[in-house]
Amino acid sequence: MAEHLFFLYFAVAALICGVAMVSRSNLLHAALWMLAFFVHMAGIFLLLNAEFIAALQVMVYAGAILVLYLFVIMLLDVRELAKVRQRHASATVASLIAGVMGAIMVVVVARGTFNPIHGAATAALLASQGNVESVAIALFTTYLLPFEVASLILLVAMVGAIMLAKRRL
Amino acid sequence: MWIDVAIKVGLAMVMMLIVINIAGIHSWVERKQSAVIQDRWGANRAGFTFRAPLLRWLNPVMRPIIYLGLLQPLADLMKLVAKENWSPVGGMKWLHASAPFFYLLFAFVGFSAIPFGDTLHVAGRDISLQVAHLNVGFVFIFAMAGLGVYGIVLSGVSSNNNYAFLGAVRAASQMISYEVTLGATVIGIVMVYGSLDLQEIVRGQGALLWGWLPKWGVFVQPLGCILFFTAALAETKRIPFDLPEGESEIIGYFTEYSGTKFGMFMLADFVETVMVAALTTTLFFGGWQFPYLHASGFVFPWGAQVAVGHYGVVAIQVISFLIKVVLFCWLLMTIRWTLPRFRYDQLMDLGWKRMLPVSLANIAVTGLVILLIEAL
Repeated sequence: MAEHLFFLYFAVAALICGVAMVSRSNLLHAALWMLAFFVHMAGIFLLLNAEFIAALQVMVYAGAILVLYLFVIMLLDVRELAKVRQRHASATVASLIAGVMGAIMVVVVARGTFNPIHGAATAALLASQGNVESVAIALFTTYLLPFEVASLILLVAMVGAIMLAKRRL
Repeated sequence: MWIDVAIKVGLAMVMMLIVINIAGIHSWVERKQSAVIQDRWGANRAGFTFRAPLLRWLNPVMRPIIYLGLLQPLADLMKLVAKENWSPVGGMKWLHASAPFFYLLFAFVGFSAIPFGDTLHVAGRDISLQVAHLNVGFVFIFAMAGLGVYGIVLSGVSSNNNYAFLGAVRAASQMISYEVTLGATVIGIVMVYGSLDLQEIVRGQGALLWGWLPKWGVFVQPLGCILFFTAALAETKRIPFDLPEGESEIIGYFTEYSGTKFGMFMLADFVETVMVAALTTTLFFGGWQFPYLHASGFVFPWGAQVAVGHYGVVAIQVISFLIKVVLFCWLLMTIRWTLPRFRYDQLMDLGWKRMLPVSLANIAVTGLVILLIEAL
């Protein structure tokens, strides 16, 4: 019961924060709504017994990535930007397509039936094996190749960023 | 159910009491210790004398308290609270007011994962002396410390002041830079004790190396300890890493703050200092462990034994944790009043080009040594 209430709170609050995030014209406010969104997402991870993922969600997304966004936002004049009426010529077409996609999604969700997905990671397994250990075992056995490929892609991106930023090394 | 909640609330209150008191006393220590280091008298005036004949005998008792400046924090507080609640012209009023709140909040929340004692058995219950027993304790603390950046960034952006803004940019980049080193140094500790749970890490430090040396983090990770302490010092943004604040010139991200809001920034700084001391104690100096103290009492390596009751053991553990934390607070304060300030490029060089590679090498060497020990 309490779990449902918590889920309801986190889900509704995350949705509200997400909508507020995309609808603010002041970028700084949008970033703060995004922070609230990340924290509520972490709450949903906690309800799924994924403490480690929840802590990483806050540490990486809210603590590092969003701070980088804030850096960029800080260097802009947010108030001047908020005054500019941002309306692109293709906005009508884009909103039409988005509306159709949204309608399709609503129809599919309303028609479909949902069965809970049962994965290998149950609450009992997590409790006996440990939260971090479970993630580590999955990463270094089943998903070793995607994990290594992802790290390689990140390395490439990093090297590329440094090359672009520093012409003379 | 309700009694569990009550126990948790009680633990949280105890932790809050510890932190608030140590942080509050810091404002007095900062005044008086800096005075002693710089050969001054320091605060020795704040106080009052009783005129009423019945209370006049209290005056000689009050005199040493006044000379020690012990009433100065109260005077400071009264001054801060009585000031005008002001927000800068052309600034963002709400964000300006919420910045110190965010900063102080995230400084406090991390303490919930710090264990200040082992399990206490009372009335058939096992109470782990830690507010929140988290499987991922130290990741949680680092996440909360990382969120502290928001308070700084908000204060800089919302102040409508270029100096505050530059201070915020400097502070945010400094905190991000040193967080990397901070995280990398703790990996070594996690590898040695095999857990992210701070209570488990502290328990692991109760073992003995070669039968006599406590297996504290500082003995198995000496390099990690030094790197961690330095990086953590940079995280508190105090001298020698005080470029974002510039306390002596008051040109930093809190330039446009006064009164209680400024007081909150100041308090959060002291709370961060306590946090650094508590983390260093927990990770590298045995947390609540007292050398040779076991659950049944002292067992010395030369064979002598002193039996201590359960409550006695828990009391010694909590007091030992507190003494270590206070000692590190004193060390941080001494460093703050002894060293000069870094230049900004030196600061970034130290963080990225010296400390980060060394801490990464530390991880590799730790891994190799652990492999060797397991192979033998």
